[in-house]
Amino acid sequence: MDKLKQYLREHSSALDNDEPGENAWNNILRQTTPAPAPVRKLYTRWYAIAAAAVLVCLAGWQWIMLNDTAVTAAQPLAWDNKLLAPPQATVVKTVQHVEAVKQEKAVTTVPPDMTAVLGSFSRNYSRLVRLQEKAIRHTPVMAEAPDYFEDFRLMLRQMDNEEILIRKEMKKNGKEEVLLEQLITLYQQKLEVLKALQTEIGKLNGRTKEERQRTGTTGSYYLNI
Amino acid sequence: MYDLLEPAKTIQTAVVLKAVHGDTDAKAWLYRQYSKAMFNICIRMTGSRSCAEDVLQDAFIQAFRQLTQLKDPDSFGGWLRRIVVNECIRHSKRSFYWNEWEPDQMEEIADEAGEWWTSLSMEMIHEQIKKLPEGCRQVFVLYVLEDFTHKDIAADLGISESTSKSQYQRARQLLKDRIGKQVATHG
Repeated sequence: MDKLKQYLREHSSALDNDEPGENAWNNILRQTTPAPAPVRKLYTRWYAIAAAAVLVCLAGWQWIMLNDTAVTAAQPLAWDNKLLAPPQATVVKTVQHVEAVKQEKAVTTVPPDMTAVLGSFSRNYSRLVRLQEKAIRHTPVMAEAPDYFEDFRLMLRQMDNEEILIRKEMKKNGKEEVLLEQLITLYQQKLEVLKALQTEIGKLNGRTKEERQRTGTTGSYYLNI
Repeated sequence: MYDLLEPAKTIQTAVVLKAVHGDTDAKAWLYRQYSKAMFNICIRMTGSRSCAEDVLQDAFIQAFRQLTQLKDPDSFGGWLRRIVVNECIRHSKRSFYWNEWEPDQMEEIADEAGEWWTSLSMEMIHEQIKKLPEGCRQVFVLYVLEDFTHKDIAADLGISESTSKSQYQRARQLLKDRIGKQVATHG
């Protein structure tokens, strides 16, 4: 072993003067932490509330229908004479009927319309995806041939095809919650891919910038995704 | 001498096993233990801070994803180091095209009698290593600090063994010339 090599190996720990930036660990953590499970428990709770509300309404309606029929059958003559006030029992039943209707309306309006909520989510995600695509289309790429990003392009194209299939399904069967959830999941995955693509472009541009400062070369292109 | 790459074995074994099961704190501990040493390998190999951070991140991500393949938790340091060096070599192949040197262009330099490096600070030597040109810098780092043979370097970088040797000699000469100039200018 030559003496320079021997000397440097003996003192190698003293060569370690640099430290990585704080973002390095955050990036590693983000890429090695599994994605959180999709929020489904909320929908289950709302489904349970909606089901309970429907049962209460049905039971209430049944009870009202039974009592209305009994009252009408028992007091035909009094209702025919408009000068006479209706019997007290009927007034009580009518008030109870009105109360039951009010309750039914109140109960049925408590759970939100999940289809509308999910539809709103999917529209917002769609907007985010379009914004991210636009940002990438306007980012100059300073190095590597466009083929370098072919994998990303293929992935995005596949996701576009999946979106078309889901939307066709929606046209056929209406905006079912299951389909809207699939669409939202697809948009979330697409956003992850677009973010990864933007990170990759950023890394390449950073590397090329230093190289160009030495060689003085120029030129860039834009990705058409 | 206390080897910074091999801390207390029992703690490391426990931490690596926890990291295998996805424990974020365990991964953070491993990162804190090894990131500085690995980062300096990356920065010496790539010559650029931003590239070194990219390669460091890629190496750690790969290591954490393949942690289940590590048979001996105590050898995590050496295993990680191989991943880091391989990532650095992969990066250099992507960004640099080798021009084959004539094998006899650089004659082997005999060990200097004066051993000019002993009077210098390691910080200065480290700075000059980072500034070596592409090609000879990678060979110098792999041969001197990672203890690769010229045969291994040739195989990994896709060059001939004689090119590896001549690049190493070139790096040595450049280091001597540049450090000598710096000392003459700044004292």
